[in-house]
Amino acid sequence: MYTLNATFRNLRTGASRVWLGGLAIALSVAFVVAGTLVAEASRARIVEPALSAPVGTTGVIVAESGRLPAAAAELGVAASDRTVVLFGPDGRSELAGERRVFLADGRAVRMVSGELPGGADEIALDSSAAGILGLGAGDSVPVRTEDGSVVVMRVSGTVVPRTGTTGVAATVAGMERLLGPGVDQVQLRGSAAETADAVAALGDAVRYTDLRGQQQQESAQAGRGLGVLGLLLSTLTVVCAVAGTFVIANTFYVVAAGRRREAALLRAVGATKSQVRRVFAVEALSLGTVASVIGVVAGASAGTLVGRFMGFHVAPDARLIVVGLVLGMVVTLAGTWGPVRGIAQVAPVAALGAAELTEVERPSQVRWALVLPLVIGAALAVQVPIVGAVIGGVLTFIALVVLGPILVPRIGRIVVRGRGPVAKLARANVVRYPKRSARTSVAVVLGVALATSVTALVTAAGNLAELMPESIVTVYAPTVTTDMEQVLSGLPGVDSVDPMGPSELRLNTSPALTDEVATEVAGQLPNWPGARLGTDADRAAEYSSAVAWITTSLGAVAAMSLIVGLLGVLNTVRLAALERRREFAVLRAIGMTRGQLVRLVVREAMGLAGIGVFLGLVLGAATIYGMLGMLSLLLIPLISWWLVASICVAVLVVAAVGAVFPARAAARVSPAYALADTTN
Amino acid sequence: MTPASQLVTTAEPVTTDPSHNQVAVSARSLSKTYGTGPTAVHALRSVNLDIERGRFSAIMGPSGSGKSTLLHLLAGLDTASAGSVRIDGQELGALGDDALTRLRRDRVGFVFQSFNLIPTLTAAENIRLPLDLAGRQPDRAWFDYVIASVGIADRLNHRPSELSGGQRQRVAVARALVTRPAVAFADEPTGNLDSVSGAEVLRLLRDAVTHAGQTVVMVTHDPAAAAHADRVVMLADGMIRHDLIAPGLDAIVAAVASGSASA
Ligand SMILES: Nc1ncnc2c1ncn2[C@@H]1O[C@H](COP(=O)(O)OP(=O)(O)O)[C@@H](O)[C@H]1O
Ligand SMILES: [Mg+2]
Repeated sequence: MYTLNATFRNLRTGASRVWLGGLAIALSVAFVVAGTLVAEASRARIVEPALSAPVGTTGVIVAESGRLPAAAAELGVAASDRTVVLFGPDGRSELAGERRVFLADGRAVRMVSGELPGGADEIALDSSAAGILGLGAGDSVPVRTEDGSVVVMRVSGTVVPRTGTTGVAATVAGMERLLGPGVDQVQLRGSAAETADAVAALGDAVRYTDLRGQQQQESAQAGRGLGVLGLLLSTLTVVCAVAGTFVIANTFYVVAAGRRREAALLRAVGATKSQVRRVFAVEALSLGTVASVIGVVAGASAGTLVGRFMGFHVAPDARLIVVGLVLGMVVTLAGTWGPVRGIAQVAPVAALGAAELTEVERPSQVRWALVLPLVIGAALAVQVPIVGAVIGGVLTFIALVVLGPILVPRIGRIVVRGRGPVAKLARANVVRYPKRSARTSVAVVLGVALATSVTALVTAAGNLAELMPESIVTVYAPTVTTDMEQVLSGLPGVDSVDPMGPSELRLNTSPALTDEVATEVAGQLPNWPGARLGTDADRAAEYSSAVAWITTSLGAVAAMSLIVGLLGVLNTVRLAALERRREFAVLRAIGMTRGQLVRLVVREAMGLAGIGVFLGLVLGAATIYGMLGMLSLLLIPLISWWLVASICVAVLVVAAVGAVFPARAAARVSPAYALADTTN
Repeated sequence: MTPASQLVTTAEPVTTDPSHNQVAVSARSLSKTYGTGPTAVHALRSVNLDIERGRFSAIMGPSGSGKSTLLHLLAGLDTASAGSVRIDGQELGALGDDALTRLRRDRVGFVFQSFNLIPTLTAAENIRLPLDLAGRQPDRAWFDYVIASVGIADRLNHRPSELSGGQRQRVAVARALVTRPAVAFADEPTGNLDSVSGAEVLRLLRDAVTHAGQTVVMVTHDPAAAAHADRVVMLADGMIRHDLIAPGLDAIVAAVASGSASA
């Protein structure tokens, strides 16, 4: 029993072999957690105020004439469209410059921390202003009043206002202290039920807007933003999960291959399949658990740091931690299922086989047959816009994964060039285990494909700006008021009016009526000082900032995939070097210098990365074609080949430089090891 | 040569065959100790040995007697604890790793017990590999002789996995000889082969010596294999116990018996 235990121990993979695989899981989890944190924080900044119930604010009342009744002032927080100037804590430097006072005009503040202001000496700061000034609830802040004097206010808490604005909130008394009399709006606090009576008591002196109703309308509008964000986050999650899965799968396939004889030996002396399986399964699960925890911690920390740096309020919550852990375990299970099952399938008689240098793998050509329906499916899917492109992309990707092992030998011969003995051996080794090489390349394929599509998108965006929907008329004003909204939505031909920010309204019309609506709107503009119609330039700017946001996010996902992919390449090269110790010793014995051996391993790494780059370019081109259809034919000359080429070169260089470490370790093998009687 | 090893050389007789004075490999006071202190293993104890050019030498001895260690040191695969090794007159101790590698590539051949062909290369590519690594063109006539001697003209483009054990080992012999080395070392070359294939491989080595003037040193357990050799050196406890010139099978068996009796 002792010996059997010892053999079971031998069967274990050994942390030194699998840690890079674990790192890949951890990185994938970390990327998803950090990406989600930052993305959600940016959403909180951009669309959330409209989405979530405004804490402490249920509605807004506006004085119908002049001043608010005293009773109204007691009901909530004042707001104004005038500005105050905040100073740094030293009371001298104008760190934040001019900061616009929060606009209460039908828009909500969201409390981030602390309380809404309660007294005349209290002020709630915009969270980014608070961050810049280094202030939090309880601190004091000097504020320049309208008459030029400086008063010191106590910070009651921080709030998040809407897009692009920074501001402060204060009680009516506090606001009048800063700006003088004339506050005519109050954001209500307390529940709707509490305020309803009070508002009713004020009667005709005020106009009341129920924010809840408005909120529902805004939610629908924000849902569109959420759609893009959700798509990006799912892309991030799927890409990272797939990339991580293939790296960990490769790790365990290679380790299991190296432990085949021991597993067979155990089977020969009577161990059941499940006993053999358990040894590996337990290890896979422990590795997955440790890696997931590390990934969640690293991702949450990195996401918080990056988010804070970008000026967002970031708070990892329990849900995100659970998502990260589950993702890590799913990746581990998906990746290790095959190899763990495979190791137990080994025939006991394999223990008696001769110890030979590991042989060459031949994938079945049946894979061609499997690919046909996938390609047909993809071709059909892309006929449907957007969703079809996504489905088509996924199907094409699956087809590539299935075909990979058959394509690898062909591509390997293309990407590993040269005639010398080192190039020849590297080429042979890259195509030696086509399945392994294909699995290794997956994450790189995804990264390069995404990067290619993104660069094409950037180029395409410039040319497509004219294709922006014609059915929108935009109105800009220093401050958009509910008045404006009501008037504009009453115009003939206007289907709906969406407030896009504190100073922008979007009028949806049918394309045919756009010009008429624009003329009507122009007629109304003199009523609102400073208001103007959006021009083509505005539209182009808005369009390109939206494209920039999407491409930056997709670019980040591509980069993450490439990082995991490169890690996978180095992992495979390192494992292969460990596995081929004896072969390397033979090469050293019969006359390969250390330098040649280092070059061999480095070229193999570049070969594996090269396969990924090659397939990635193919998939990228296919994706562009799928997404843009015939247009892509026109766009291909516009693809930023320079950018694509730089990315590919960078991937190859990183693979080469990273491989120097495992290569040097491999080159240290003693040539005498070639004569050793053992297999490993 | 250090003064110390000169001293030892004069103190102890060198085991050499006087009829051949052209030496391919020579060892002087060669020692190898694994580990230190009380657990140290003296795998080789001050061995003096000259391997003559153009002869087939066998090294025998019980398990643990130091055969593999001697082979490693003679072939420049490992460094000695004391003493010196010369191949083709070149002192190995003076060479850095790259120079030593080049020496192995150009002047030493290896045949391993478990063949050790590179699985990704065809038989022909495996045979050419030492030349390719050196960036050298083969000597046509010699190359043709080596290829012909393997006797698998129809399978030269097959991978090792498609060859039988005997075929693989013959390819390995061709690989060892292709550079026309000063010496070819074979470590139990028949250990993994059936008797028929083993005999073919031995005949190949024998022919390389007899007809092509190659120098071969073979480690073996098998007296019948050793009987193909011109000379049999027997090790015991890291020292040379017997040195037999052209012994018959009976003499070898007798020496093996005496060796194990005294061990
Ligand atoms: N790497 C090593 N470390 C420690 N001891 C070793 C090592 N290699 C060989 N030995 C010891 O040196 C002695 C000679 O071994 P070896 O040369 O392999 O003998 P043989 O090949 O004749 O069986 C043995 O006692 C062996 O245990
Ligand atoms: Mg031995």
